[in-house]
Amino acid sequence: MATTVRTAFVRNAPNTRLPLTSIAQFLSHINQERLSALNLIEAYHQHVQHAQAESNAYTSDLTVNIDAPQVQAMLDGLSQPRLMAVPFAVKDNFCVQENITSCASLMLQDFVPAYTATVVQRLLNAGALLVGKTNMDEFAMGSGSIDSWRGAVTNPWDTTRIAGGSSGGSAAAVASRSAIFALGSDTGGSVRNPASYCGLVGYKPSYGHVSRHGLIPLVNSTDVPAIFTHVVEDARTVYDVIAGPDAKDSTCLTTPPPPQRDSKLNKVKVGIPQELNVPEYQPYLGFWRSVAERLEEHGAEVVPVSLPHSEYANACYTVLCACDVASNMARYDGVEFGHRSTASDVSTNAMYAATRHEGFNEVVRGRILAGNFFLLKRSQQEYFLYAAKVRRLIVQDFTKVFDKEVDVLCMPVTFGVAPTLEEFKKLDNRTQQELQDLFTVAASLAGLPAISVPIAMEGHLPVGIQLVAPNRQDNFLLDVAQHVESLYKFHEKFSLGL
Amino acid sequence: MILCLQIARQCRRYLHTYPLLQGTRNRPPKGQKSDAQAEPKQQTDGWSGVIGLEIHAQIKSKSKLFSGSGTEFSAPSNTQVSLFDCATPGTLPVLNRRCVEAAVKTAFALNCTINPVSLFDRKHYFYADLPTGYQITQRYKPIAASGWMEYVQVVNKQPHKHIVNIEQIQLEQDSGKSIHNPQDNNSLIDLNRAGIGLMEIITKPDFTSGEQAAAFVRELVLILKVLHVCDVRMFEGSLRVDANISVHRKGEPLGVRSEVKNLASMKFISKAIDYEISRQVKILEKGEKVVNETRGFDLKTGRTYPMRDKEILQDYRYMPEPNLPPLRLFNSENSQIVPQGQVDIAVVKKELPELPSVKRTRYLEEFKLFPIHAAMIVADERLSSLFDAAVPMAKNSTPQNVSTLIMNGLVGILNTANLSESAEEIPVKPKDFALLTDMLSEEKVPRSIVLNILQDLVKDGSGSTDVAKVIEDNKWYQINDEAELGALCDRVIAEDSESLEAIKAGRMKAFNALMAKVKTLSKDLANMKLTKGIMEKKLEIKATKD
Repeated sequence: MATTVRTAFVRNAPNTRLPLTSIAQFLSHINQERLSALNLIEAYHQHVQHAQAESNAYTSDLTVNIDAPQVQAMLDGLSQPRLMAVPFAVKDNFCVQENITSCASLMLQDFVPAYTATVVQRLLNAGALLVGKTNMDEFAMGSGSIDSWRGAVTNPWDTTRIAGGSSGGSAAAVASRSAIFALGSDTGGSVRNPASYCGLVGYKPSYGHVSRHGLIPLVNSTDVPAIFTHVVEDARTVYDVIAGPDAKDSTCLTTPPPPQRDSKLNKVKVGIPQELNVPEYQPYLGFWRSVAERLEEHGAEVVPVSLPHSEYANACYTVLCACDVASNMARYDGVEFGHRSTASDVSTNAMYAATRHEGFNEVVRGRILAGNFFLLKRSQQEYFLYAAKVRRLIVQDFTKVFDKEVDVLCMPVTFGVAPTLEEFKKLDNRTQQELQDLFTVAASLAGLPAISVPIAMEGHLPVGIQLVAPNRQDNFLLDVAQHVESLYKFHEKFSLGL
Repeated sequence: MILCLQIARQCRRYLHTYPLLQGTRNRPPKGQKSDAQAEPKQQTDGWSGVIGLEIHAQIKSKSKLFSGSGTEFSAPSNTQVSLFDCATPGTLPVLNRRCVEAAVKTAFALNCTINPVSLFDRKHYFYADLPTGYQITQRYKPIAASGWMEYVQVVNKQPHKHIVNIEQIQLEQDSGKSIHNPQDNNSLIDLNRAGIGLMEIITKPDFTSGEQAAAFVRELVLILKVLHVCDVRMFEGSLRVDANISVHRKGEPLGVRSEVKNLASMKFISKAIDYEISRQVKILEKGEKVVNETRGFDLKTGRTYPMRDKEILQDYRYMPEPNLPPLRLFNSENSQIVPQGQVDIAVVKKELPELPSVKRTRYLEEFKLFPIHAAMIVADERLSSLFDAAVPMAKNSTPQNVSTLIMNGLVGILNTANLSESAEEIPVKPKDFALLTDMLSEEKVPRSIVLNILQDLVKDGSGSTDVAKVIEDNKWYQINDEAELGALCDRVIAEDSESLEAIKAGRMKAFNALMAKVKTLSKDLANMKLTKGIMEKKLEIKATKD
């Protein structure tokens, strides 16, 4: 029996709702209803407009660009691609040819790339339809999707609250059912975090399994295109479509993954990282404990494990992130593309300075400054190289527990439910990030596959749990996630009532 | 003062080079790394220069180091620019295997240790023609390091062999070009060059003079050409040289260095370095300090000058390039399995052509050429390929005969015809050159006629002349018959009683006049060596040399 949460969001919903909650349900619906392409596209448009009006989820509505005759041909059964007519949204830091890709920044507000990201192209090739680009923290620097040139994203479950970030727009797009799935980018938790706040599955595959070609980078060595869905099965489907080597990304792994671990629950050893039981999480400890207990009930062995260096993960990430940001952002100088200031024409250098000052928000500028400091000859050893060493220790922590002790880690995603915008705004961006990324950033530093699965409601707001698997054990992770999903049946029990 | 220094430096060069030995590919014993290091430098005022070079060689490859766009020099502006080259957000580098192979080849030629794993770094600085704001290079773990290279410096027409130590060879991206337009107060950017693969070759500070550094670059150019890894067209900028220069007194620590950027020809390398040495010596003798700075070279004045836009101390904020995995090289010789698409250094090694130093050794040992001939012919790829082809075709000549005709005949003709550098190929077929050498060795055609024929071949340039037929048609055969020569002498003596009397009076100049008349009378065909003996006999004198 489903509990329906009614909010202002729902009251303003369009009349012609499509069941945009899972691929299977959607495909059977359009097969039964024999909808025309034009009807379908019009419905998508209304859904996007609604999500936009209520949650500020999108930076652009691309339903107008959908090629109706081509969709009609699909619907008429001329071709039956895997993701036939499935509507999806993409975070606005993935390049899509002929469409503005802004990274929610003034710097790129008019930037129209001449190419399409590999992951987006693979989805389009599989028949999926891109309905829009989604809002985010500027250049993905944030954890609440409030630091956007296009304004804050709000949570469809309660629009006074944040959706999480930095891929908050994609989360809101799926949660509000304007897209069946969406792509985000998960660098330190940017997909798992909003998935948890918005009651969605948020899946970050292993680093190197999904091409980054076309993803405007934040931290090159931890950026992973990641997936929002309502159900784990869909995350697997989307992953199957987008994963695999890409000649355009040299960091894609080309060797086959190791044999998959046995995912029968009675064969699975689950680790509970002791260090993550921090005081701030105490009010929500019950959720974590409940997952451990239920897994144990269903045959899994649950053991405490230690990740002694995880407490340094945030500091380590802050330094490495700033360094990559300083470097990656150097190209935004107003010469080849993007915003160019007209405030100063004294010299090229003055033009750069004015352009970068106007084009970036304070968070971005702050990280650029910090990163350049960390990379200076005199501070490199103390910061950048030191952080790189700490990162190695963090990776070793995981290697140790996965080699000898357990098959999967179970841990929180966030500190409970989504905070209100008001609460959240009181903290500065760095403190926000430190709190929001606490549970997610270590897996990012180690490149491990990780997933946030919704399990329960706290009041009217969803709560998720995180699972982290050994490197390249993506299918195993999805299997375990499906077990957890079936234990809680969140998706069946709770819905926004649309 | 400058003059003094230059003379002193020249003296030093004579003192501290050793003659071209029959070389081997083995590294010379330690402590004899380079003659310049091995022996003390003597200068009248005690100063000596210490010079290290950084050479940027554009890799000859169809596409750029990390993108698929073309590398043609003459293409219209901004037509060879891929999305990656103009720093489009979200694009990633993909390493070009050809460029890696070129660097491996060069590493072999420069006797370097090839690193099985090398890494790429980002070097940050803002410049309009550097679209990403950083250059991808290999600072900390380059593809190859710790090598050495032999080169030959010709001093007073004598070749001298040196060894220079190579610090490292690194792969990196070239930048674009800025064209500043002061009239409209703007700059125009051409990104055709941006991202072309470069090999940066860094030497140890083993040179002591500009001429020495230039001699090294000359040999390096030759090696890069032979390897087909670089076009080495300096005027197009496909090879650029920066020099780090300092001076010190023997036994004292090295002085503060300056860097002179973008030396675009051998002449400029030599001149700029020598100027900079004398400039630094002057400063130090005045008791002042040399500033560590980047300087340019003014071709017109022959002086170096501080470069303004490099004045601010740069901190390049190096970091590892996160979008490229470590570059791994494989070696099937070590029974390593080479994954598809990866570079096997054993294969590259097998394809290496003969290197100049090996060729020089071969010319000396196998062909017994004069050292200067060996050095000069090897130094010009066109000459060495002509020589290599002509030697087996010449039936009755020694390789020495061939090299002599090249050095004492052909080179002069090429210089006169202004083909000394520019022409890609010498318009004389090896077959014809071998024939002419044989004709000369067998004394069938006189030398002056051989040179005339060579000159005609060069001038004609078509390569369609049938040399044997031309000789036959014109009956250009040397007269070696003593009776026939005697008859010619008799005719000349009979017709020139004046000279005859002068000779009898002891004025030997008149003898040469008679000889010249024989030459003319025979239409240049008389064997003049024989003629001289015959004439002397007839006149019953022994002509002195003059």
